[in-house]
Formats: sequence, structure tokens, C-alpha cells
Amino acid sequence: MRRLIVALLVLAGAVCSAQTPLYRGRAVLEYNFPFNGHYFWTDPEFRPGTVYFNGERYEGAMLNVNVHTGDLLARESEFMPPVVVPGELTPWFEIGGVRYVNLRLCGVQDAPEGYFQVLRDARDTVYYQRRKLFLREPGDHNGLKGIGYDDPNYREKIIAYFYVRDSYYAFRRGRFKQIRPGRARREKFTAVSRPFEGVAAPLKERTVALAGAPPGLAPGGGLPPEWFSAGGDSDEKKAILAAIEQEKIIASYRNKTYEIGRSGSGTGPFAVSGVVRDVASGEPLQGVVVTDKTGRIWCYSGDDGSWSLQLPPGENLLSFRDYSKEDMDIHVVVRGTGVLDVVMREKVTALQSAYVTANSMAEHRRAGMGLESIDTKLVTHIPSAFGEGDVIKAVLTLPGVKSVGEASGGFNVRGGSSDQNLILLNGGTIYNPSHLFGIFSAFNTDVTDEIQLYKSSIPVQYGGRISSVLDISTRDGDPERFHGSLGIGLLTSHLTLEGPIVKGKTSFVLGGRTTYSDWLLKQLPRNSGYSGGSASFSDVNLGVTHRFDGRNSLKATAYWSRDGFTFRGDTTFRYSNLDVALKWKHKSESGGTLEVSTGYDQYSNTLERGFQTDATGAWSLSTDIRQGFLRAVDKRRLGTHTLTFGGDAVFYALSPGAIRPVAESIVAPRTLPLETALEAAVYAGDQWQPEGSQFSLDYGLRLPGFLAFSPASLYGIPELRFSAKYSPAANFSLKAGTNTMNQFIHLISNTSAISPMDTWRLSGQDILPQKGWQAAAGAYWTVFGNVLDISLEGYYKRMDDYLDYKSGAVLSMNEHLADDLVRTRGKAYGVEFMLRKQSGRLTGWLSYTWSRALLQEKGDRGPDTINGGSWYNAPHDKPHDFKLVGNYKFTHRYSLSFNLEYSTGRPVTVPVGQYLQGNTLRLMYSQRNAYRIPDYFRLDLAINIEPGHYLKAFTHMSATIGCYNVTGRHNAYSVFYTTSGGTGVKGYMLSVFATQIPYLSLNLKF
Amino acid sequence: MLLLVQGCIYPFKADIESESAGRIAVSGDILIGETTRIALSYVYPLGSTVGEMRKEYPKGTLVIEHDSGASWKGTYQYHGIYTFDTSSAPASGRYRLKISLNDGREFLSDWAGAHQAPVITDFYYSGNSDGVSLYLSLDGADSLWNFRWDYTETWEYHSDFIPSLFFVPGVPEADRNNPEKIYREPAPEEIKHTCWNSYTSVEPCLQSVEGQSDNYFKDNRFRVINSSDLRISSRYSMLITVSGVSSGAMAYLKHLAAMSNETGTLFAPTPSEMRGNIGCVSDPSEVALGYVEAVCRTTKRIYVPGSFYRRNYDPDLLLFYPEPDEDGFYNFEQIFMLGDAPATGEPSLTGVRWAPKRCTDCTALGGVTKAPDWWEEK
Repeated sequence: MRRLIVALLVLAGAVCSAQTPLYRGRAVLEYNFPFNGHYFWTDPEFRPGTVYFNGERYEGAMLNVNVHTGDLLARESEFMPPVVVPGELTPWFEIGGVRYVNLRLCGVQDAPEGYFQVLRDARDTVYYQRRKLFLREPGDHNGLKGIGYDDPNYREKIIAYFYVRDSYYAFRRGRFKQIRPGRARREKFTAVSRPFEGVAAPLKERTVALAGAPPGLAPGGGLPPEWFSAGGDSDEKKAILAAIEQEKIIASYRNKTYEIGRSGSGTGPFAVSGVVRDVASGEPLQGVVVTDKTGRIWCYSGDDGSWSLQLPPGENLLSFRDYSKEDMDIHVVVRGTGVLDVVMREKVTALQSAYVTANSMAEHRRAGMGLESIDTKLVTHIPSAFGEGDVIKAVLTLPGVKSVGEASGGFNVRGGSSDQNLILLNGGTIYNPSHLFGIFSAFNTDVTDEIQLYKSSIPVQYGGRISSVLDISTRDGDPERFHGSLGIGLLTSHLTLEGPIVKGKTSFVLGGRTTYSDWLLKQLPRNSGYSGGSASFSDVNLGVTHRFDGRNSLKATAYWSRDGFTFRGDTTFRYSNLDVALKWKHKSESGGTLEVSTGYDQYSNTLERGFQTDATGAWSLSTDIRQGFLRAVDKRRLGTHTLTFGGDAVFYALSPGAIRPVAESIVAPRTLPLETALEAAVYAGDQWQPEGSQFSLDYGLRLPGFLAFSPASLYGIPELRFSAKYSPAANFSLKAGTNTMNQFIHLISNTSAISPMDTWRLSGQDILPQKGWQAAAGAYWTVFGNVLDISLEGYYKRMDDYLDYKSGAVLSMNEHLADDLVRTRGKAYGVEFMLRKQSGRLTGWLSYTWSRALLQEKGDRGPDTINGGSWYNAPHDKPHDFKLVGNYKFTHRYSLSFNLEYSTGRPVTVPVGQYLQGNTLRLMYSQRNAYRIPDYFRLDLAINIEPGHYLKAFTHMSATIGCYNVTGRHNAYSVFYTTSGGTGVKGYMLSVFATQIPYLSLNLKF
Repeated sequence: MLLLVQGCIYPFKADIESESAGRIAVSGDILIGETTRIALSYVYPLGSTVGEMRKEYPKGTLVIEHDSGASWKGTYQYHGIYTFDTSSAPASGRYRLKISLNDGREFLSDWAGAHQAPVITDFYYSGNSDGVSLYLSLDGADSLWNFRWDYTETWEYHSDFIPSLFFVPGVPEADRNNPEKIYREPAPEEIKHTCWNSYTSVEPCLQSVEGQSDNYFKDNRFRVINSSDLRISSRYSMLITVSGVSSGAMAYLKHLAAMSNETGTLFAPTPSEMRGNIGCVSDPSEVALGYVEAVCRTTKRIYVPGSFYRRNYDPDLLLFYPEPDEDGFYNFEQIFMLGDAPATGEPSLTGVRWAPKRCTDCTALGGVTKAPDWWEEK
């Protein structure tokens, strides 16, 4: 097998094909003018035409001309990016009956560079050239003659613009000279669609030499040996990197064709695989979309950067796409099974793509629905209170994801409660994903890598929750060099360091955050319960990755967080998360991957009360969850099938409560029985993409079992996953799917948000597993040249044995907790519409969701039955939900982010009557969740200033200046009523962030 | 950068449809060994004034039933209050309350055994320069794990000055600058220098010891009186009335108090209506609001001397000489109407010092000059 290493660096040579098709040109990095101009000759529309390229004539190509750069652009289809047709090989072309020529290639050495339209009037043939010069001058240039746009209604102040320069030439006495025809004559010019006249030199093929290889590269191509090795940068490597930086060799690799495999290997299809890495760090790139020329054969690169496609023999064009990397299109001739390693370069103009999530077309390639991949850059660009990038807040901007209010931990997905989301960090379970009561999330965006939310089609390897899975992984450290970042905000600071332990082999990444937020609490209202308190949090992420070889790696991760806060003088909360994990990845010869991971998770929670005011009654209450897990998942390709199978096991040891006296207190120490259980599952799934078919299937079966040990009880409920896709066109897909889920651990809460007083319980004899199923269908359409994604998804979901609480329930230290709980059934349904723009200066999305989430108590408790046994609103039922998230890039460094949210107010139970009990005024409450708090509206704005593109600078400073809740709206977190004073009932509304919150966040990378 | 974080509380009025029509609320317990007082009231729409709520009360027949067949019929007093002579009711057996309203609806509370009274093992105060704290220790004896107590405070206090003169209002205008006409010496019985006032707690004090190894608690500091509080200026007395509470009633009362006063914080339980133990016989879907139990109560009184009182002002600073207006005219009538009164001095236009009336008349602070019958002298 022959291994080719193709990158920006691979130059010339032995593998270059003799044939050079039209669409092998350099992909165009589209750039937009900040105002409404463009760089095309007449308009941006590509029109069919004819190209005479490299000695061959191509009919029916979609063409346009960039008169700013003087390039001919060709587009293979609406869904492929345009490429630059090498001008050195293109003496002429025609668009819409108008001929354009490169006179120099036709032997007219006096002619300027670039293409000319061929015109004619009654006198002679005239050559007309248009150029657009980019000018940036102070002042208002609106209306300037020759400005590169023609909107008469445009009245913005113009200081940067395209200046149009039209020139006319003709042969005069055997010489090619510029002429200045008057307007009257110009109006008589007509385009000529036949071969031009007056050119002396005959048209002939011309061989143009490509850019020369930088010194040090082997003529056979490929990266030098030990490119990513532990040794220092060799002169050879330095030379190549210098060449990259100077962009001397940018385009050259794209004009090559690479042979894969040996001739005579058979009829195929052949497995072509490889690894995608970052050119600078050598770090494997996960999530790169690799497609063939049809767009129907595709894959994502895995955690280790590996990719694999089954390609038919013959010519093909492999496209590599990643939101933060330069696009790559590589021409290959597949003759057999082979390896093609690819190195991609950072897209230094990446701001415009900061909001790209999954690749536009990726939605049309997978059968599964409801997957949202979130880039860390997206997280840091979404305006948030106090400027700290927040994973949970980013998740909340997605359709179908809601929260009960500001400063509330957790989130709700498609009508599910907050405990129905499985939140994984490197495979470990995070039970409380928030810091400071939900103002910040528990995840440090400096070290997070992939953030994926599954809200509908949940892959078979996930289980244990019935609503969604939020899977977050931290990135690997840089194995080549040390660097880090430092961030300072108004409430928090964070520091990240990474680098090699054994250069090229073992790396680490270490990130930590802490806060200085006590002053914030002093500003909160007295009635909020926090006034005068203190609060702090810290968290640390550590990851160590070791690569044994190209196929095996081991990654150890650890996460620790601690929160502590005190309020009202004698009440203290503390909680902490601890997650450690070890993951081994193995890539097989056939391209399959095996991942085995194990780890330990712990969530501890302590509440102390009365230690200053009640000497005999002071107590400390602790709960914790400890769990160990072991998972193994194997993925492999088998023809048109991608199989996933494996198993996992989680052992739980859950302490539901232990109360201890504090100091001289006479409170009796008491510990609720430890709950232990084993949850295990085996599963198998298949992604089936029949070759050339418009249909694909994704289906699987998961067999979970749950064994509670004391008292013993066993549950085993099979889970089904099924989704199907039909793509009548490459840019349009219809999908439908269903899945069933089970949940064996439950959050017991009677507060609106996840609170430190909440307790978790395992299923057992008296608390049954929650069961749920969801059916969903959707349509996905990508339009305007991959610029806009439109999706419409509908879902219907049922839940069974969801736990609600009785009025007056005692949830802490209750040995008979089940007696205070009620089992309910739930249903949720809704429609989610989303419009997403992923490229250009303006990126972002707009979504609208209409949904309902309802509960109904099972059984009949007479008058005590919640709302008489009728369906009632779930606490997070918010029917209308509108979100607009975006980023507008003014320049490469400056951009504006905005976030607008509107939603229906959440349901609440409010007093509907009052009465006297003795001399005391009392309140009679409505049926549960029968009313709603006022609707929610918020607009956030932020200006992001990215570092300059000085690749050799030691430090890069970025800053975000923003304002949370720009309109200062008093959004209600809750409404409540008091009878204080006994003279009447007064209603109040608590608003957590009731004013504009400006912030400044500074980040320094070094 | 200036950052203002203003989590704020704003007045809020929801558009609420009243669901209260005809609903009744019951308050009071069946008191074994003493007179029982049960109060009925209607549930009114939110925002009703207390005056509106006292215009009308449910009318009907109330009967306390004992599982032996004995019963006690209530006598309507006023403001929806019915009294029952249960002074001879047995402490054993089970009781329930039957309510037959004139509109035909009939309500019954659940049968409940009478709770014995807890033992007051200690009830004392401690005082220092900050004020006085009152402590309670209770023992649940055989079976009590939940306790309730209410208290009534009574205090003796004095006006700052014993007035030597009284102002005579309504003097003809011609005599208003005549000291002999506008002042007179008060009769001894007119001087209101010593008064007694009282206050009964509104919210019951509740304590559960169900999580403890023994069913008692001690040294619960349930009341703190600031050193400048007039209550402890001379002599203070507190009477506590203690009873046992069932687990169900404890949960109900705690929930009721929380739902009235403790909602709205970030981690507060979401509000809900909790059913008591009174159901409607004629319509099972309807309930009456309230929780009725049969209890035995015990009381204890302590006195606190005035030695911990720290007056936070000098009363002499409140004395002033009335000043004439621009015309040299003394408008004592107006000064009197504004709430001031003569305090010290001999009758003259300029020689009498006045003070706020509360400084010369202790009843101006709400007290009465007659000591309660049970008041023990020092």
C-alpha cells in the first residue's frame, strides 16, 4: 500500500495526473464586500458558458468572472464551491454569448493581464476590460461614479468600496493600444460570439509551469520524515512552514491528482482512508466532513482524525470541510485500497464561520435527526451575562431547548424535565452542570472540543435518560509546543496551559477557572434569598493524551469542580463534581475503531443550617452519588453498512441523605440507606447507506438492564432506535424516526430550577423507571448555494412514570419518599422551524418553536389528585419560543454578535383566593401550573475583537465588549404573593437580571 | 466599568380568575378541657380588604363528635366564631368536626385522637445589653414529636412624664392667652402614667423533632426583644400555650405558612394548594380549607424585669416651650391638636414645657391603665 501525505505542502511530482479536468482549480474563498457591492463583472449569478481550457473545450460550464482578481470562476453545481480556473491554461471562454479572451495567451504581448470582452462596432473589433479596485478612503463616497454597485437607494456612508475601471483597446497600425471611445460609440458596441479578429498569433496549447517547490522538499511529494516527531523543527520543516506562511505554495496541491492503490486491484469499491491533522500542531481533527464528488459517499473524521470511504475506481474529487479550516478539494484516481493522510490549515479568516455548526450538507447525509453540534467558538461568541462563554447558554439558543428562567441550572429538551438529559463530559456524568445557581455552566470553554446535543435520534451507545444527551469532550493538548491562554472577566478568571510531555507523543491540557463573585451577592435583592451572602466556585480540567502509534492512543481526563455559597447568615451550600476517565482508542487495519473507556464520577452535595442561630437544632445534610463505569464501543464499515456495537455498565452507589448534628446540636445523626444498583446495556446499530440510493437507514437496538440491590429489583426494557432518510436531491432531505428510552435515576425536586436542595434517587421497588418514546419527522433544505439551511421538524413524545410531588411533600431525608411523590404520565409535542446561515459576513440562525408539555397524574387520590386528574402544564411548558442568534463580521477582526429571545412565560401556581385563619390572612392557590408568568424577552449584543493575524506574535489578545439584556426588560423569574402585615395580599415579580449588564472579557493567548 | 446587578422585586398583578366562590375555610382546634373556638370564613377573591372579608361569614350548625357518640354543639358568637363547651370532653377517644351549612353543604373532618399536651421542661429568658431572648424547651412525653406553641405578650410601661398640667381645649378665643384658662391641674385618676399592653402571636410556632433520637427539644430561642423595645421597659410577661400536633397537621401548617410568606426566592418550592383534613360529604370534589385536630394544651407564664431596657433617647429632648406666632399669639389649641400636651411647669404662657402626648399619656401607645387580673406585682 502506498501512503500519500497530501497537504498544503505536497507538491509536484510523481503522482500528478496527465489529465487536468476543469474543476480542479483552487476553491474560491468567497469574500463579501462590507456594503452591497460585489467583485463580479456584472452580477454574482453564474451562467452557462464554454471554456477553452488546457487545450480542451468544455461546454456547459457554469461561469463567472472575478474582475477584482481577474480570475475566471467555474462552479460544478449549485452545491459545490466555485473554483478558480487557472488562467495560465485558459486563453478564452464565453458566457452568454459574450467572448472573453486572454490576449497574452494568444500572443498579444502588448496586452495587459486579464480577460477582455470582445466587442465590435461598424469600424473594428474592440477589446473591453473591466477591473474593480478595492479602495478605502475616509469620507462619503456614496454615489461616486464608477462605484462597484448600482443600488440607487443605497444611502449609507461609504468609505470602502469597489472602484470600477473600464478600459477599451483596439489594434492600431499593428499595435495594441488603448482607445477612449465616446459614449455614443460605446453604445454601438455589440458583443461578438465568434472568434475574435486581429490577433496575429494562432491559438495553441500552452504548458504553464506550476510554482516551484520550496527548498527541502523531496521531489516525490509528501511530508518529510518525522514531521510530527518529538525532535525540534528541522531546517526542512522550517522552510516548508515559511513557504506556507508566505502562501507561496497554497494553490499548488489543489492542481494535482493523486493515485490511490495499484492498478489491477480489482473492480472496487476500494477503501480509501487516512487521518486528517492540523498542519501546525499535528493534532487529529475530529468532525471533518469528507465527501466524494457526488456528495453521496461521505463520512466524518473520528476522534483520532481518521476517515474512511468506499470509493469506486477511477477519478474522484475528495472534499474535506471543517468550519475552522481552509476548504480542501483533492483530486484522486482510485485504483485500489489505499491511504491518504491530509493536513489542513487553520482558516485565519475564520470569523465568518464562527457559527458554523455541523456542515450544511451534513444534515442531508445522516439519517438521524435532532443532532446539534456546537463549536466552542460559537459558545464564546454568544453574548452572555458577565461575558463568560457558557456551554449551557449556547445550548439554550437551539430550537427545542428551553430553561425555566435566568440563573437556573439545567435545561429542558422537547418537553422533558432537566433530569431527563444525560450530560456527559469525557464520558463521565455531570449531575449539576451549573455554577453559581446557574449563572455559569460547569464547562470551561477553553478546553472543550466537541459539544453535541442529541434531542431526537439518540445513538444506541447512549442510554439512561429519556429526553436528550449532551455529550461534551475536552480537546487534546498540543503535542508539539507549549502555549496557553488567560482570560479575565468581571466575575471569573480562567487559565489554560497545554503542551507536550513527550514531544509528538504525549501531551497535556490543563484548564482552571475561579471566581470572585461575593460582591455580586451583595447586589442581589434581599427577597432573592442571597443578599448578604458569599459565593465562590472553582473548576479544573486536566487531560493527558498519549499516542502509542498511528492506531492506538490513550487519553486520561479529570474534572473537578466545587461550589460553595452562604446566605442568610446560617445556611451554607456546597456541592462538587469529580469525574476521572481513561479512554483507549484503537483503529483497526480495516478502518474500524474500538474505544474502551472507564471512569469514576462523584457528585456531592452538603447543606448546613442553623449553626449560628439554633444551638440545639443545627444540622448538616449530605447527599452524594458515586458511580463507576465501563464502556466499549466498536464501529466498523461493512460495505454500505456502518456498524456500531458494544456495551456499557454503570455501578451506582447513591447516598440519598445523611444528617448530622453540628457542634452542640442534639439533632440525631441519621443516614438513609445507601442505594446501590448496576445499570448495564448491550447494543448494536447500523447506518445503512445503499450505494447510489436516495434512501438511508439508521437503526439499532439497545438492551438495558437495571438491577437495584437493596431491596432487589430488576428491570429490563429494550430500547429501539430507528430513523430513515430520503433525499430526492442532494440539498433536500426528508427524515422520520422514533426511539424509546428508559431512565433509572431521578431528580427529586419541587423547585423550578435545579437547586442544591434537590436529591437524586434510583429506581427500585417503589420508584419505577421512567419510560419514554418519541416519534419525529422533518424536512431539511439547503438553498442559495449552501448558504441557507431550512429545517422543519415535528415531534410527539410520551413519558411514563415521571415523578411529580404531592403538595407539602418532604423531599429531604424522607425514608418513605415514594409516599410523597406521584407518578405521572407526560406528553410533549411541537414543531421546530429553523433558518440557518452558515457562511458570509452574516451568520447565525433564526428559530421558532411551538410546543406543549403536559403531565397527568396516574391513579386517583380523590380530591388530592393533581388538578383532578386532568392534564396540566409541565413546569417548563412554554408554547411559543423564538430565537435569533447571529454574528456580523465587519472585518476579519471585528464582529458584532447578537442574541434575541422571546418565549411564553412558564406556568406557575398562583393564589386565586384569600381567607382569614384566625387573624391571619391565608392564600388559596389555583390548580397546579394553571397560570403563567409574563412572557420573556431579551436582547444581548456584543462586539468581538479578535487578535490580529500575526502568526509570529508571541501573544494574541482578544476582547469581547457586550451588554446582556440591552433593553433592560424586567423578565420575571417568578411571581409570588405575600400576606405580610396581615392587611392584604401583595403580588410581586422577581427579576434576576432586571437591567442592562455590560461586560468586558479579555482573553490572552500565548 | 460600572456594573449594576439589579435583581429586583417589582409589584405584580396577574389577571386571575377567582376560583373562590363559596369555598369555606375552618380554623381552630378542638380543645380538650377548655372551651373550643372554631371559626368559619369564606374564601374571597384576591385583593379583598379585611373589611370586605368580615362582612359575611358562613352560617350553619357545627357539632364536635366523639367516637363514643357524645357530641358538642357549637354556639355562634360573632365573626364566624363558634364556641363549644368541651371543658369536660375526655382526653381519650377520637373526635371530628361536623359542619352543616345553611346552603345544604355538609363537611366532616377526619377522625383524630386527642393529642396529649407536651411537657414544658423549661421556659426562661436571658437578657443583656442587646435585649431579651426567650427560650423554650419541650418534651413530647410518650408520643409527641411535633409541637406547636402560641404566645401572648403583656407588658407594663410608663409614660415619660407625669403631667402637672392638662390643657383645656375649646377655650374661647378671648381667653386663649390666659394661662389660668387654658391649663388646669389634673385629678390623680386622670393621670395615665402606667399602662399595660398585649400582643398575641399570629403565626404559630412549630417545631418537629421527628429526625431526632428523642422527642424533645431544648433552648429554642423563639423570641428576641430588642433592648430599646418598650415591652421590656418596666415589666414584661409572656404566656405560652403549648400543644401537640400530628405529622399531617405539622406539614399542613408549615406549608400554609410557607405558601403565604416564603415563596418567591430562587430555590423556593413551587407553590401549591395542600388539602387539609376536612372533606365535603355532599360533594367529594370539594374540600374546606383547614385542619382540625383535638388537642390538650398546657400553658406557662414568665415575667421579665425591666432591667434590660436601654432607652435610645433622652425624653427631656422631647420637651419644648411653645412659641408664639408672628403676631405674638400662642396657638396652644393647634399644638394640642397636633398631638402634643403639657408636661411640666406652672401655668404661664411661657413657663410650661410640652411634649408629645405619648410621653404624658401611656394610653396614646395603645395600652390600658388597668392591669390584667392575673398580673402579679413585683
